[in-house]
Amino acid sequence: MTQAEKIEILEDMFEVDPGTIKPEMNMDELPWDSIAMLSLIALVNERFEKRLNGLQLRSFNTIKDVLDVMEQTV
Amino acid sequence: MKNSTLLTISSYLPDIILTNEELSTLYSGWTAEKIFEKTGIKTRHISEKNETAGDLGKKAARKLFAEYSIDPQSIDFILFATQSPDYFLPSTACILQDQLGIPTTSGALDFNLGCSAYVYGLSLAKGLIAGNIASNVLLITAETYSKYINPMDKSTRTIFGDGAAATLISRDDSEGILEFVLGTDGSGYDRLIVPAGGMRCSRSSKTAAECTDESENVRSQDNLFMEGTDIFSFTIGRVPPLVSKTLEKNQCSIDDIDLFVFHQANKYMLNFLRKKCKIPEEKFYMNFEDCGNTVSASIPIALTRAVSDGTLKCGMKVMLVGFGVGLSWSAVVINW
Repeated sequence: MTQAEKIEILEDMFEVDPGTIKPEMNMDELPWDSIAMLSLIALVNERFEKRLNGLQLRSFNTIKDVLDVMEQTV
Repeated sequence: MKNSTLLTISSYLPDIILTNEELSTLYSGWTAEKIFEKTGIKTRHISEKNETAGDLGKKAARKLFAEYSIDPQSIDFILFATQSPDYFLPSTACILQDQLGIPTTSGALDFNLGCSAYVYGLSLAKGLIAGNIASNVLLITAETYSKYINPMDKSTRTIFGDGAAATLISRDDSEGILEFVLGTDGSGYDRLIVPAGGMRCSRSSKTAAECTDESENVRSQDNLFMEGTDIFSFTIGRVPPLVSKTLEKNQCSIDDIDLFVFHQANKYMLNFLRKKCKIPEEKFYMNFEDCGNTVSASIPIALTRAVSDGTLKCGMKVMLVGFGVGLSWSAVVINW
């Protein structure tokens, strides 16, 4: 999966317009609340067969950190 | 081997109703619709200040006796599950023996589990009957998490409601309660917890001090804390294999099960789990819009509702699945 495809999935998840999300974007520029965290756990589990925990989610500073997690998986 | 059957269930919800409209006035940026959309819950029933889990359980048991003409004198064991007991000691089950008119020759004990408690209770009842220790077990699951919840903690207050259920499990010629799969992972004990109030950390002015988290939820050490992300992660990791193992142990497939009744946690989690377990929507029961997540009472409340609305019929094979605080999980197949 390309970076552009992953960003597209994240834009869909965050319900923001296409082109909004950039890798260097800070998480606090997005609606990164508890509901978004659950959605990301679900998304990563469904698409990448992987489980994220609360500690990992809270360690994300930028979108690049999220993309890296999507990177490491099968 | 002595067989046991789950005979009858009655449930009780307290009178006070907490609506999404009321909650939305407290939490900035949250509308009643948003709360419903995320949780699948519109209202929850809340116990009165002086109304305990023992009171709710007693009402559920009295309803059971009245609805099914059960003589309390026929009960010979009481199992009472709660995490908000009337007292540290004695057991609430002992108090209910007297108040419900159950013989003094009965056994009675409390056990402390939450969302997995109902299936655990059925496993204990089956064991007591198989071991020739009891013939008619009254299992009461009653919870009042509202007493632990900080009014300004939307992560828990939007989800949990108080409630109770009473179930009669009896010795029977037919095999009603089939094979169980249970599990525990205590490493996650602090992911869903009331930190203060027990002997590890007594309540004090220090534990009562309120803090605000990054999602603007307010709570103290005396209150219920739930790390929702970790609980969600736990369930999506544990529940699908639990369902597979339970099918395997009962030598059946999803096609052989007529109805799945999971712990009624919240809509988001249940929809995700249903899809992940590949359970058809029409076989997956959800009915908690008006009562929320009632912890140990959620599965039996759902069962009574499934009977009332005609979804659950005699002769059906049903899988019950509990999961949550502990962390703890449990599943069983029953012939209804």
